[in-house]
Amino acid sequence: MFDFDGRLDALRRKDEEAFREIYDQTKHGVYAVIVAIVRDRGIAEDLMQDTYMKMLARLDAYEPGRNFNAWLVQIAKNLALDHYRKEHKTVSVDPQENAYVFDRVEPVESSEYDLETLIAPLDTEEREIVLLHVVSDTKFKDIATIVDKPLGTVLWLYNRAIKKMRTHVGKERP
Amino acid sequence: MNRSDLKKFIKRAALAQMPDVFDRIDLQNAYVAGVPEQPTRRVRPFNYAFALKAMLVLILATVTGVFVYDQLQPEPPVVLALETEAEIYGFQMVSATSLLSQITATDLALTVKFGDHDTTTAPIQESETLITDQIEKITDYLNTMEVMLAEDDETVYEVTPSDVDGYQWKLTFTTVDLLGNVLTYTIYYNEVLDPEDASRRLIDGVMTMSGDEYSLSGTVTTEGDTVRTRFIAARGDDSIEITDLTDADGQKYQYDVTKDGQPYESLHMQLSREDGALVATIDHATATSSAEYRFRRLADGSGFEITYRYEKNGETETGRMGVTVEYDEVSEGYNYQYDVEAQTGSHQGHSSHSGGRTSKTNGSSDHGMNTSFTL
Repeated sequence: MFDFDGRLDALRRKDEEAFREIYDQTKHGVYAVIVAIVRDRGIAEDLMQDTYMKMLARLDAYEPGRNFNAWLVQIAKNLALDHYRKEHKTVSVDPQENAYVFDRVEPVESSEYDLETLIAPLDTEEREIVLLHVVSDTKFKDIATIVDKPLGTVLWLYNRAIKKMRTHVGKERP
Repeated sequence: MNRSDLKKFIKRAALAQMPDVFDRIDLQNAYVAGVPEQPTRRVRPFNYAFALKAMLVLILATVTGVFVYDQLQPEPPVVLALETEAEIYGFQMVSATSLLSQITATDLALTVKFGDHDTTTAPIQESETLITDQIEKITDYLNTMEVMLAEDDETVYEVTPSDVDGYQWKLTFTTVDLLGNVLTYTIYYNEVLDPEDASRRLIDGVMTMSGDEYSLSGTVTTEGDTVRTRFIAARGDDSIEITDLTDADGQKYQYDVTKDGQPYESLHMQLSREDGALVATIDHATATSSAEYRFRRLADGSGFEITYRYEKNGETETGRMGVTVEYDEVSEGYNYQYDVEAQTGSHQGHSSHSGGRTSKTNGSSDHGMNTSFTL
């Protein structure tokens, strides 16, 4: 398992290598939680940068021995939610209203799907759980902490989301 | 599209458009909490000759160091299939209770359900596979393996303080069955030091499965660096005792089943991890036969692969079974569909079987309350 606490000592000394390692270990989770909420590529990029800047500025608030990755993802989530509230006043969970506005990326292979198609039927909460788990390999136990829901509920939401997506993809490409 | 492909496509698509902001963050000029201001260092001119000598010394030291390090390395440690106390206790307690529940339920199914709507394992196509007479036993094991060997990232063991009077701890095992149902099994237990043996802890607890309450008891003995567990799940005159036989080859358990107060069967289970997935190998022997079954859930969650070796009356058959879950309109339930490819000497056989799956949503527990979700 990656030793975050060991690297954080080096990061406090502004060690670039330690920062690179921490960044590589955490970028998927940070990105996943941000795009689940804001869904705009340019803003997601800015919020990723803001997340790491805020992490550096608040490093003394992190308690060694705790889950650093979950702590950082929570910073990213709070920044994304703050942004969303400013833009929309309230966070909607209506999947139609939340139509994905990411740039369409051409599939790697013609037989593959783009992200927009795959997660289109999901609401914000389902998107957050799916992207955290699938994109950043975050454990369900940690996701339960991040989304502040019981573990069983998280697993249920995840499996419901998987079923929704499979049904949706089946309709898209029979 | 299966689950595995779906997850693969999501990850690939998401990562393809993930921005890299590392170079946008100027760490040296960023404010880092708790970092004192660094004094300005004097810059010295670069000495190429000194750098070259230093590099040669460094390379020589590295090569020598790597060689010496390799020589001093001990044998790699055994990768444990179950690591935490919650996983070790939970796997044994839940698998024992589930297996006992299956073995007890099989007789009921045989007695009650033979008839027009037979849902026990019945061959629907057969061509000389020796394993056919073991399908019911394999089904007992599979009903348990379906919940114990769910995808690695979908099983969670957790111990928290009990919310029920009379018990100190609550162990929750959350898993997903082949139909995508999220199942929660809950065990309440006490763990206290044995007043007569300080190296031993005593466990007593309770678990409800399929509406039946099973008592759990056990010991956890510490001998130097080795911890040995022994658990018994019991209901009336039926019980399963699990003895920890873990050694340097991996995690192994012996299950001794007692039915109606009499020894019924004994089996060994070895657990291992392959590509992150938990794999179980079960050995079982009688006076006239012996068998080894290796259960592995398919990565896409669509079914199981069972490879086996079965010896009976001096004849040995090896083979592979693909197992899926299919809806049966007659019984209005889900059955296991076995597709068997067998090899006996130079002879190849094939058979198909259907039936035997018990509802997992009724099997999960929360001290009497069913907390499973049907999706």
